[in-house]
Amino acid sequence: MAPRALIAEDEPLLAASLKAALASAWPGLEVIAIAPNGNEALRLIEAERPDVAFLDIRMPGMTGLEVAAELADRLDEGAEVPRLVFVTAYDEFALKAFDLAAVDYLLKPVSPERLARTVERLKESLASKAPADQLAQLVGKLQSVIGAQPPASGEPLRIIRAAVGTNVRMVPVEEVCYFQAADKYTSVVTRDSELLIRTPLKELLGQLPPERFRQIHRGTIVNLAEVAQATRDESGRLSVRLKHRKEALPVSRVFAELFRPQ
Amino acid sequence: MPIAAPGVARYLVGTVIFSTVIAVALTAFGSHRHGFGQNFVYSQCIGLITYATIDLPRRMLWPESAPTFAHMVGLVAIAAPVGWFGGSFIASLLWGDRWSPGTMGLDAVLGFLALTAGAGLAGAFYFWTREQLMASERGAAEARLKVLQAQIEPHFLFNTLANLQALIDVDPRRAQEMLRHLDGYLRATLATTRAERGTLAEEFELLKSYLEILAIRMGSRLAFGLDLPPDLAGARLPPMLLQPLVENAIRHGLEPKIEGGMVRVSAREERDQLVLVVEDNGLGSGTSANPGTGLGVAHVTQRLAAVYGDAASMSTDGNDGGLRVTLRLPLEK
Repeated sequence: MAPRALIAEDEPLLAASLKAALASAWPGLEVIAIAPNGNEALRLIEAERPDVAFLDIRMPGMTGLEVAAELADRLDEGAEVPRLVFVTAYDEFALKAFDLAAVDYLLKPVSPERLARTVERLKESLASKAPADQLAQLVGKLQSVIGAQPPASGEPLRIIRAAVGTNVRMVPVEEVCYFQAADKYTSVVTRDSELLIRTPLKELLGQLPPERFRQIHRGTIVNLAEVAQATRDESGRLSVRLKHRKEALPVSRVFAELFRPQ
Repeated sequence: MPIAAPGVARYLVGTVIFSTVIAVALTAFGSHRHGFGQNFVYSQCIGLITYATIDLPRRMLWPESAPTFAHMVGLVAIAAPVGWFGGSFIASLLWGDRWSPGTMGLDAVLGFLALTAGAGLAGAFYFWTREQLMASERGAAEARLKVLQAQIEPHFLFNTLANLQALIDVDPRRAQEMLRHLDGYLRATLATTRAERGTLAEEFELLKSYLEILAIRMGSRLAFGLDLPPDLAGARLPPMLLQPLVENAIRHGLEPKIEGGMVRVSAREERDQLVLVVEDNGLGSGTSANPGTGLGVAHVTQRLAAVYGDAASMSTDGNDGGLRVTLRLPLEK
């Protein structure tokens, strides 16, 4: 069967151009879909199970890196994962991290010679049948890229001000068990209440003390002092149990390092 | 290390010239009736050793920055006797004299020491101020470069080039159009980093180039509107004032938003004030996945304060889920 590929790229001209370049560099490859954003890329990868995915790093919705992190999580369930090639105009930092782990990366504008080399590598990789190892390795690299805390910006946050009807509840950050991204809001969960604030998770991450608050999932920041234990279920997925809440919180593979025994 | 160190050759030449001048002056006006040759050899030896005694410790103690003036004086105070005694000893060997400062009399020794210290101080001060000047010039050039780098963001540049590459094959006419916009944008950016004031018409022209490029790149995901009343076209303002705000709207508001959206820039006059509004219906403040939030806005605030003081202001508010930035500045026509 002919190998199948997905292209995730938000700029339509670039997506079409990569597709055309692939058609001449690798006539046997079938491009089954073009995803205009990260969320769509993830959905299509799950639905179509392509052999290869070209992921733009900077995309609307989930970034290419976040798509890779989500894919890594599904590995535990024995899902098949495509060979990943990252495509970017300029991401020195990320590219350095990927040098070894992704099958390859491409810089825009993509030159035919460079693409031919990528195609060679992909063919080799498809013949060797070991994408799982590769992705596991990629997860390690991803930790340093998306697992890294964003640099602290301005004053550290001490009190969360959450609107409750016409009142504003003042919640000291150490009383927060975890923050959960919820659509346009962020849910602030304490031992006995759940409040909504407008500050997005990514922004919070830069303001919370990193020794206490850590991102454990794309949509979750947890107060480490509130974590009772981390458990791996039968399918290999990691989650944490809290001291004062009943619910378990899933942990992404990229953040699993936080809960490795000493 | 010192030979490979920057500026050593220049300092050595300076020292030799300076010592030669002193040798000439000593020959012409000095009380000791020595010939120029002898004065020259003594002068060079003393000068070079004094220089080495000043510059070596300086480079070791302050490898990165310049020492303070007081430190400089301290160095010279140590270097002068070392230079004079050491230099005249070596010179006496070279010239075949007997080295005997003891027979010269205290006045003469003190006089030569003072001369060496004075010359050392003058030389050190000269090069010290020169270095300060060069450092500040370098600083200014670096600052200009930073502004330029911020304006020509690599992601923007390389993605635009990639689009050009894609268009050249399939739609050469649009490729040419895009190239023209890119050319206009880059030229305007380079020119305005130097100018103090531009016109509103120029500013809008620059925004048009920028937004046309992005409209080609983002396709149906981006719509834009530019609204400049003709009688405000000649209004004057610091160049590239609005560009960072529009770039912010795109980069943090619309580019990361799945559906994309619209950005609108408008100008109006309000009680002798120029009111400029940049609004988008993107993701709003702080939700961006793209790094670097806030730098552009902070830069605009600083420039407004530097140019207009309290006479100008900037405010931001939510706008249909997106962001609206309003600038008010004195109207200069």
